[in-house]
Amino acid sequence: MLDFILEVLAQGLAYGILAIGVTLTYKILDFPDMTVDGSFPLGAVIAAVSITHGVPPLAAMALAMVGGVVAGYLAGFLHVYLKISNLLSGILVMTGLYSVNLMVGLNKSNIPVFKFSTIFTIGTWIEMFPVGLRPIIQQFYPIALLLSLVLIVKFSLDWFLSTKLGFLIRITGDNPQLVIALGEDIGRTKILGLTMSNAIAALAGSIIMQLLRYYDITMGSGVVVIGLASVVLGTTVFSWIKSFKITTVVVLGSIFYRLCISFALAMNLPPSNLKLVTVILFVSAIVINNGSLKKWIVQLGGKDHVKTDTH
Amino acid sequence: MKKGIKIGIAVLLTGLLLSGCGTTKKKVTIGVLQLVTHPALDAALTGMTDYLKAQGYDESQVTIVVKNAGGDAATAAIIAQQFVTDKVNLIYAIATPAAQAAYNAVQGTKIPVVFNAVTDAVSAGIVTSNEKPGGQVTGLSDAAPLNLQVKLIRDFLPTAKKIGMLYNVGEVNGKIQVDQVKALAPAQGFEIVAIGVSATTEISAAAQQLASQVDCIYNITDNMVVGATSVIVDKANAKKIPVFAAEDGGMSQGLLASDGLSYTKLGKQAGVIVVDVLFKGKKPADIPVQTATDTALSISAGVAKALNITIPEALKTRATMLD
Repeated sequence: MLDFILEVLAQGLAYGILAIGVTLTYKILDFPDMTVDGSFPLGAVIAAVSITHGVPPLAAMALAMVGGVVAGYLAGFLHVYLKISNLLSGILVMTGLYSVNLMVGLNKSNIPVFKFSTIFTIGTWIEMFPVGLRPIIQQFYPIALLLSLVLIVKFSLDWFLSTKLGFLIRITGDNPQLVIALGEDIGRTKILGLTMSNAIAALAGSIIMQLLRYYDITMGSGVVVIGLASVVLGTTVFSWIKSFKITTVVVLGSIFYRLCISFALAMNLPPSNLKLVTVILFVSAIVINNGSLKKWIVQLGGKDHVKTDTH
Repeated sequence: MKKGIKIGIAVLLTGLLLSGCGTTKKKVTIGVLQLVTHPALDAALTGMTDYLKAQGYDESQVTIVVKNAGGDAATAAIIAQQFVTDKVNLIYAIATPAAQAAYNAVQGTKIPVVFNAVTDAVSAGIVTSNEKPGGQVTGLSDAAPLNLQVKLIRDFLPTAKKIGMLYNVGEVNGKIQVDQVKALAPAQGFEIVAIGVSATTEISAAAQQLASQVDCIYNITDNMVVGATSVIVDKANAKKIPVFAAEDGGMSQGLLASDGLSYTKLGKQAGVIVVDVLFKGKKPADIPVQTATDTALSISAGVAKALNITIPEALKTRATMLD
């Protein structure tokens, strides 16, 4: 049972990094960026090809991020300089990236890295620990590593958003007029936000590829939705924790998303119902938290019986 | 009153003992990890379960837990981990990403994996070689007997020169088969025109383009292509050219002929391996990866007539003739 929980937690944390990237565009920059569907597998395939060609895992992840930067920049370039609508520029880059991903993968749509060292491979350093402790370290190492990665990404972004440039990105989403009034180039801040967001998404792709230990081109389809679901679930279900920043909340949302899927799986329903059950779990979680259920009860039960909520 | 309680306890204890006796008979659990719902993959599952039943391994001895990943790699990983946590006795993984997820999850355990519908297990990284898998993983390759198929097309169309093929660039199985047919075709005097697509919606246009360039179309066991059989047949027949296929699932949709795989039979072959591993003590490391041992030829007389194609007499004897 513990192994299973750890697997769900690991996936939740790994996809949490993706959620942080998606948050930056959707929530902070207010830019519906579809590029992620392409930059996520781009990161995965760059890392897979690099690792199978002997590049150390950390360097492979850095290369993946470079790929994400290029993808994000292209989407921003199409939108800002070629005046293509935000949604379409993302879709265009995402579509083009499908071919790019095949090319990067040397025309293979599936690349296993089973026989290569990844960041999750336990090195010889484990021998420094007493024999009795080693199995426990082996079991918790992936989670500890993922947690550190999530925290690094989260705190870097939090810090960045508190700088002057980060502040510009935030107001680009909230109040674009203010950016222009400040005499700043709104196009540049948009491009910057997109490159960062896609770099984070590509990083997430490279990490999840190492976690699954193979790359498959289909792993990109629908990641925008997964990221968005984590953002929405996080912000509604965990919004009561006032002291948490949005970058924390969406990681919790991502873990919650994976939990929903594994619950749906554990219910032993016919396979065709899996996605429907996941959706029902989502809706229930959101409805329970956003108070709309309470309003319904109030209306159905009549105002005499239940005190109406102020909101 | 007290006596009643005592009797009650005695009955309970006897019951527990009896039920304890019942479980001493060895009962095994098979975890089935299927990538996605699809007629061929479903057949690979029922073929295996039917074989087990036919061999007398019924519900009293084998529990089969079926989980479907809905096409998602991350979900497949969760399912595989769940099976390992539940300590199933064997994982039956259907399709390449499912087999890879199972392979990954059983590392460090002794749980054997039998896979099916994986075209090239070596390049998928789950066995060291097809002859000697080496680890705890073995199974069935659904590599189509491609030489038979090319031969079949030659038998039907003695003067044809070009075979058209469609494949999904995002599915590793399709690319492998196209490359193999390209290598085989010159021996029968054929040239291959292949078009790669990346979405079902592109197949219609691709098939139309292909139909005007070739003498016939051959559908490989590529999930996206198989799913679009009726569209491909439609575009091909408009140009009066026939469509052949590697599996007989699409015969009712207007294929001319298929000398190919039956996933039900592949599932049955997998069943043999499952029984060997679970009940006869064989090691997956020593069981070679197998391909289909026999093919099934089906010919549609109606389609042949509509396209003015004569069915070779030699083929009629071993074929299942359809309308």
